[in-house]
Amino acid sequence: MKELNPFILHSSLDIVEDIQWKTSQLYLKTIDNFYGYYISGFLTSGNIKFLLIHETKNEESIRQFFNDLNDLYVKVLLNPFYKVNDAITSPVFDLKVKGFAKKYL
Amino acid sequence: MESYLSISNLPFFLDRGITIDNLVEQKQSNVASKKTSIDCKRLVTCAFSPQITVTSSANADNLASDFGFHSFFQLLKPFGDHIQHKFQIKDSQLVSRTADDFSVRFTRPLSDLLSIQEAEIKERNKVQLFNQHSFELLLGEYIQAINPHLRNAQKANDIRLQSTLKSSMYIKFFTKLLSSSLLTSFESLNHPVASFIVISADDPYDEARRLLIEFKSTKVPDFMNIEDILPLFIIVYDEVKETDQQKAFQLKDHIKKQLFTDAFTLGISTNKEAKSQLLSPPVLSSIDEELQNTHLTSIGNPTLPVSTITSIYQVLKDVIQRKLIPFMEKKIATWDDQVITPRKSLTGRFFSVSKKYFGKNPQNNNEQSSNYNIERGSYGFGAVESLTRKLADWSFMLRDYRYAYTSYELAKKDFLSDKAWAHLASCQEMAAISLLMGATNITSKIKNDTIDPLVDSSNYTFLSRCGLKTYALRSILIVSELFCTLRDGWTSAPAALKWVQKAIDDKSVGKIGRSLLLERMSYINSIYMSSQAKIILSKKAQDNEKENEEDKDKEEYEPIFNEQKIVKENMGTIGFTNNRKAALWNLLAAKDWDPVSQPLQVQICLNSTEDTYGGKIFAERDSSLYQRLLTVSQKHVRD
Repeated sequence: MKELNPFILHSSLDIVEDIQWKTSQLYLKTIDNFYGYYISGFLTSGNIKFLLIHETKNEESIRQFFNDLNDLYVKVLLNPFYKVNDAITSPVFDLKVKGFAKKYL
Repeated sequence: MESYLSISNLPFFLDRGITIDNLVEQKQSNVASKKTSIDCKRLVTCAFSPQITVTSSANADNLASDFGFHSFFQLLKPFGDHIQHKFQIKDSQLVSRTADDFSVRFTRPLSDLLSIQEAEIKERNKVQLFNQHSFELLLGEYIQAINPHLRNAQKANDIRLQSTLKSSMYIKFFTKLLSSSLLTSFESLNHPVASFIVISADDPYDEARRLLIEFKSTKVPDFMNIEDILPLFIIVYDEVKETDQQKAFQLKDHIKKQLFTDAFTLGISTNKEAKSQLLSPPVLSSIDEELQNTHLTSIGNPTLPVSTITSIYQVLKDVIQRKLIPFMEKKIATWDDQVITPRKSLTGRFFSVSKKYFGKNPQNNNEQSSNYNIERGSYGFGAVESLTRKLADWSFMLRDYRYAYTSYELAKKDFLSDKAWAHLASCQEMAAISLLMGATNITSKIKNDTIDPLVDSSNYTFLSRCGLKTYALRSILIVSELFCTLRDGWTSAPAALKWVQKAIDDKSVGKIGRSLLLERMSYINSIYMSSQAKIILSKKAQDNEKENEEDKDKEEYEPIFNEQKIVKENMGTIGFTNNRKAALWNLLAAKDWDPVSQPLQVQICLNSTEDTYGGKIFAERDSSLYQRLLTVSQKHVRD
């Protein structure tokens, strides 16, 4: 199953792109599911998508997670050496995201 | 001879070097092509066509064996699949319509059918449409037959041929799912409508009489009525012998006068020098029949003289237009008078309501008035319920889908109140199918309020109450294919997806079937796009094709490139397509095919995802599933 995760998330982009025009919220809630796995989505103001695959439904904490992640992402964007749409290579970012995950999920 | 139906015979044609250009999709730039679904819809029309039993005398069989067939039935079988002719059919309002083609299903004699079935029921206790094991076997053989051609197509880089071959696998699967001549009490679609008695001109009149009496006195189960089957004589004569023809006509007149049964003459040329044509194997033969044909009694390359082929078609056209269709129309009209009209009329309704509420002993009333035989699980052939069902089935065969639907709805109520589960489920299935067959577009209201509950409940009843897994599988796959044929892919594809998903989750198919269904999920996702996106994408594809054709030395101008800007290629179609979902399902199918045993299939699945996954970092990582499947399959293809 784990090997499929990136592909499942990638395929949910189809749905994100469909519903992103239908809501004014940045947090798109659970948008898709795949054999017991849920996919939640979040849209940043720059049309970058955050996707999370999870097994239990817990909207509120996922919302908080996404919001904090968004703050963190904006900080990454402030970095003059970072170009939009590139992979984020910072280990600190990774660590912090893991921290959020521990806190909220 | 080659019709659009024969896609599932592709390996047969290719093995013999017959050109198949008319079967291969012509347009390369066809975005989200629904061709295979449309083929499936045609198959449904053919599979739910009148069933005709073929009995033949020993002399007639001898004639057939001159051409290498074992019986006359085998000779006739391929002709039923697709008969092109402008057939006039009157619907329930007596309005005449023309159908461009018609099909009939030839089967073995009634007594044979019944005895084979009896043996099977004894063996397995339950009627199933097919045996899971033999189905898998057949599919496996088909894949083996198709693999070399696929490989050649891949080498020659013939994308159209490759995709046609690939889609033919699902069509084969679907065809075999549909073709079954199983006689059950709850599905009168498979009850024969007519019976051909084939005799040779050399046969004496007594032989004809004996065969007719034999037919009339066949012991049929009590849910069938021999009177509802139209007996017809086909008198075969040898065109080479001149006296034969005269004898045939004399015999025909004799039969008409004495037995009051219609007879047709069919001239067959035994002239060996005449130009002959290869017969393609019958499309709608059941799984067991096909396995038998390939393993036990191989006919090889059956050929018939061209003149004989045309004369057989001519006779079939005659029989269908002049006898079969009028017979069915007449029966439908009679049953309509007998069962439908009284129920629809005001007095009839009042009567049934008053019986329901003011009956003397309400407790017993229900059981007494019910025609349902619980022990056998069937209705008698004369019961109102079975007549309604049969009426609906026959009007379905004559393609009057609206009338069929209303009759199915009527029958459904009775079956529900009698708790005749198998009857109910089959009736609901057919109601949903007839709704979808008659429509080109369906509003979401009809879909949500009518079709979904029908299919849901039919599926549940088949699975849980009757344990008829195969029937459940067939019904949901037909429904999903029919949803795919609807005009608007964006609104109808989700329903189709839902049902195929259900079929996968129910585990009612074998290993190969499962992989095919996963591929089907991918296909449905690929047609899951809004009509706007379809227009944009097909235009783009056309432009691309044009560009390729035109000279390429046109100087390419480079736009000013802003490195900071994210490049979007598909602005017009964002959110309107489901190609990434399609790719995911193709990946799942590839995983399911197993790269070691079926490397070619895996490769084709993966190749079709290339547009989506190519250049994506997460997919082309060495450790990713996509990459691993790709390397393993490549290695095994080479071996």
